[in-house]
Amino acid sequence: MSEGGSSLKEQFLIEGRDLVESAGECLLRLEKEPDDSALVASLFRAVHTLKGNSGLFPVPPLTRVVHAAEDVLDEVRAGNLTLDSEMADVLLDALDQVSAWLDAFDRLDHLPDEADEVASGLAARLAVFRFDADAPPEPGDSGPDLAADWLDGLPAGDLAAAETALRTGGPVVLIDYTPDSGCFFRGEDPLRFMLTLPGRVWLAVTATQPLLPGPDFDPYQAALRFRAISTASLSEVQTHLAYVAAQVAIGAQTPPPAAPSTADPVLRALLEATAEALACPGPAEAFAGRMASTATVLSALLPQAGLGAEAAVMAARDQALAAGQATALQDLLAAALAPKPAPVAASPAAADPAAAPKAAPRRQGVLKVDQARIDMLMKLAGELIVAKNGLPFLANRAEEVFGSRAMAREIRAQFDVFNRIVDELQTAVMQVRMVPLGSVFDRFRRLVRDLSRQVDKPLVFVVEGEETEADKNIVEDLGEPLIHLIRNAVDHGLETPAERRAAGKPAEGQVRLSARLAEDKVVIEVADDGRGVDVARVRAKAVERGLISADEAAQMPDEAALRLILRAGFSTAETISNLSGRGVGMDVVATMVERSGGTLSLRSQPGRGTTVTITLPLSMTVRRLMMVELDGSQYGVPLEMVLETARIPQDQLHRHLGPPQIVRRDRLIPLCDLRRPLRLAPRPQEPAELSVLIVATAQGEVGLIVDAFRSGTEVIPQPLDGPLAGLACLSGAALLGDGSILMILDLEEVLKCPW
Amino acid sequence: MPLVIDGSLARIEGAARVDEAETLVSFLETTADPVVDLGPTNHLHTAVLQVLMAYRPALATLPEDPVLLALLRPLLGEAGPELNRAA
Repeated sequence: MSEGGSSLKEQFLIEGRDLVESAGECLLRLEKEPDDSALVASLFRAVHTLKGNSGLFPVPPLTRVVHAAEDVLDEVRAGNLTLDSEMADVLLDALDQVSAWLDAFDRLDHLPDEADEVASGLAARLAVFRFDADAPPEPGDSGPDLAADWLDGLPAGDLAAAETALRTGGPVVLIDYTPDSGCFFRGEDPLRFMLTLPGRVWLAVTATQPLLPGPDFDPYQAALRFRAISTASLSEVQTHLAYVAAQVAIGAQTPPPAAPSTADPVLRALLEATAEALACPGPAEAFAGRMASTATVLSALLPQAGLGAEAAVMAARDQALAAGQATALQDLLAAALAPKPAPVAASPAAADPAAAPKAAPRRQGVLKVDQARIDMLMKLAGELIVAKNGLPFLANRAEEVFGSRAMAREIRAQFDVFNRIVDELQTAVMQVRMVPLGSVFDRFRRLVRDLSRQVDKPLVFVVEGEETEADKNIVEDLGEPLIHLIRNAVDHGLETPAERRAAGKPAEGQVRLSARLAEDKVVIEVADDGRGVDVARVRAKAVERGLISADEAAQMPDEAALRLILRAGFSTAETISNLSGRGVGMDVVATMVERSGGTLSLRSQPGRGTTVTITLPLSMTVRRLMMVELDGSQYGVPLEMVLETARIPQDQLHRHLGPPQIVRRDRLIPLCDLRRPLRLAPRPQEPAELSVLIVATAQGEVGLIVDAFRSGTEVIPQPLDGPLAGLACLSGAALLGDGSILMILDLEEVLKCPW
Repeated sequence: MPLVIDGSLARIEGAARVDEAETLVSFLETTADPVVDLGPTNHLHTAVLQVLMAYRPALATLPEDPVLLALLRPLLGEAGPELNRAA
């Protein structure tokens, strides 16, 4: 049973986060299209569902905030309020808070201690919009919602009295006071507090636990709860209860102006007008006609409002005609207009038809599966790949050790079959893990909106290719680097509106976030149409920081100079960001991207903007490596970094200053003997032809001298732990088909070692 | 002392203080068919109210004080039959 409880909680958390997210999206879109009633409806539905779900868990502050948000949105939905950015701000804050509380509830099983206070603050901020509205609050047919929860568990008599007190018109203050059990020892007399409450119109006392007479009864353990309604002002009540503020929940409420008998204000207005017409004295000869037409109106209206049947109206008309007096019809009208005992404790879910289909659309063949299970499946598929890769070794052994060529052939044939099936299996599992990038992109709308307001740069945020899919882990890892990039683009890339106008550009800047698939990679671009990177400035700064010499800087092509901003140490202190537009933690971003097996590149045109391109593998669980041999061991180099393999005769080496270089396609490429940074023993003798692996790194192309090339392979990298975890040069290790271990080189780190 | 005990009748005169709660409990625990007279009562400390709510003793008279009467009637109103009997 306890498991059922916890899975219910999990479901609440998952669904809750989804709802918060979708509500946030709706809000941002609504800001642009405030008239889209479908958006309002789905926003309301999300918040409403969240409220309903939260009621099942001990998170009253969360429920309270969502409730307040729902109330405001209800007004928006009814057309009494328009959603403006101020309201959106508060609603977004509320959603943020709810999201934080969901996380807290996940971890702690309860909300933080200060949640109550925070909830009151947020609820009050939200309530402001409703009270500011010129239009009267919508006379809801379920009575005031706040009171509905608040009055839970009261005897019927008290409920009715409270209802009456609430309907007195004018604003009231609701007080819910549960003295803590030790309050008597502090000399508090809660009853006196309540009896002397200013403007008290209603008071109910209930026990918080059954009060059982007997030897165990302790009269000095307070176990009462006081609920009261006051017509005094909120501040008066607060002052009165200041001494016990921590034990009291106070809410302000404006009840519906009069006791409405119908949900529809139009209907009500019509009924009132009819009553007025009926009360007017008229010529006696017109009496029959007036009665007949009144009855016609009523017979159309009352059944509509569910307040009476047509037959009753007709009977009243006949009675009126017979008596020569309108009394019977007037009574009928009065009954319809009289306050109907509101179903106070009506469950909110039942009261709102919008709630009914809430779960329905989710059931359409979509399965929510614990990620750990998918990960397990992925791991098994990965192991199958490794096991499969053992077959070629077996075939070789069959041929070489046992001399059976036919057997080897059969094993290879079998391997091909395995290969195909395992490939398909891997693709299928990977498909399961694929999520659209939109899930992470959507978060940035909010970020961009906030940033744009913060730095006062109006901008258009264009998102393209949200439907592009990538592995869940990759998508999740993308979040942080993208936040940095987008922040950079808005904060530093874009000029101020004034500068833009002066440059002949539209005052509104543009930041474009796009994603597309390129072969087996995802390409994500963050582009702005701002001022671009000042490459001269970058060069100067790099020299100043001692990253390169002045000569190097002068010779460096623009493209390479641009990459300088990705170097660690380039943007440590105040940086050039304010002047040139870029450079805030770009090295951090580049590192993050590389950790996920991706690459980052930059393009910039002065005055036209900057584009940062991130290329990531679709899935990082299986990595493709090029194997190389060094000092008798095998090492793996990420295949995406390898540009080409070449055999270079010794006489083609250019030995000048620094490392030897080779010329490939009219470009000088420095050579690095991979044995040196890895501190392996030097080669016993220099071969006549060097095996050079040319790779693309953050520093540009580098030729790596290795002992020999081996085949490419697919592996499931395992992170290193224990004493090996500190080795930056190795990004991980993998098990090969023949049971040996392959160390995977992190080339960027390797090249940072002296070579 | 606002709490005056006379045989099986306890009368609360004026405002019942917090320490009266204990006395009242021992009275209600030890007395057979205890009756409480709230007629001259004008305030009950919350602790005393709790005792009354727990033991629901027969009431000789309800308080004359209108505020207290309005509060107690729904809380202790079920003691109606006993009220008549005691009177």
